[in-house]
Amino acid sequence: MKPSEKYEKSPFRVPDNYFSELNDRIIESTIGRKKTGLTAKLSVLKPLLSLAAVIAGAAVITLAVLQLVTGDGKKQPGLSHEVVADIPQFLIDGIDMFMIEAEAEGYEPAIPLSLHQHGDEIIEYLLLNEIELSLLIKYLGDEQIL
Amino acid sequence: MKETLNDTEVLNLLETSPEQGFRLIVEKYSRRLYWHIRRLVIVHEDADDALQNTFISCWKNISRFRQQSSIYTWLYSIATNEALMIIRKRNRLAEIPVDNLKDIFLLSEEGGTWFNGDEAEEKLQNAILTLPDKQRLVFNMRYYDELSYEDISNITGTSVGALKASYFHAMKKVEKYLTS
Repeated sequence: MKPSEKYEKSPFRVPDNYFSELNDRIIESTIGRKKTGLTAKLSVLKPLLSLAAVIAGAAVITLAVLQLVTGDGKKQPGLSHEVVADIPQFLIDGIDMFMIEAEAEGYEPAIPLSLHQHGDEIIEYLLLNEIELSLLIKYLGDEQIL
Repeated sequence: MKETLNDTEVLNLLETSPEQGFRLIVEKYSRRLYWHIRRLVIVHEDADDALQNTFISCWKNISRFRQQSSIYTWLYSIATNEALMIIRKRNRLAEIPVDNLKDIFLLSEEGGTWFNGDEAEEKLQNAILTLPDKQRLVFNMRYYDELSYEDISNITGTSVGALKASYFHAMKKVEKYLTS
């Protein structure tokens, strides 16, 4: 490049001190931005933060479900009812809560035990559904259910 | 003293100390690039924006720069693209090509604040503004920046022969405009 200042000869002017401050402004918007920009740091950390949030969320849900399934009435360390209450409804919808509660309270899933305890309700249910009582008694043998 | 370093020395400095090397590039070329952009976009604010964008792009891509061209032709090509983007955006906003100083000043906030040319200079600028983009580029880079055709070829990606033809036509059009 030829040493020449012809390129500066034009009818255009610039604001006062423009060129004396120009290089500093350029450095500030390039090197300066990269060194001090919080957004640049956040953009690097963003994927890691997202991953951490997903893992934390999964951990909370797992703990909540475990507490419901294996809970014996004792409060699990680090998992309060408030935390469980914060679990989104759509995650709970797919779970058979009655089954979980029954198991948590020590019920056997078999029918006969509950037959003894709720005989009236069972008979009402059978009548409503037109199930032949004699047939049922035959299957149950001599056991007293009434 | 620093400004006397050649491209190879600047590139070596970029490898050992990128920030120092980049500062050197800014110091060496900012003023020259400003005037190149300014003659294309006319408005100071636009020229300043395009210059900032040029160096931001340079800083982001400095590691990809290969010595297939010199640093200043590489910078000129970035600056030229930035300037052309502003011109096209302005033409889109105006819905017609804006090819005289008065209209450009009307479209900008700063108006003619940073123009102090006399009637003859205004006429020359208007003559240059009537040229198609490529002819205007060639005219400015030959007439004002005194770049060689080889350098302009590297910047614009056009053959030397085509550039010579463009410059010839540009000169004729400017002469005709000035004598009309």
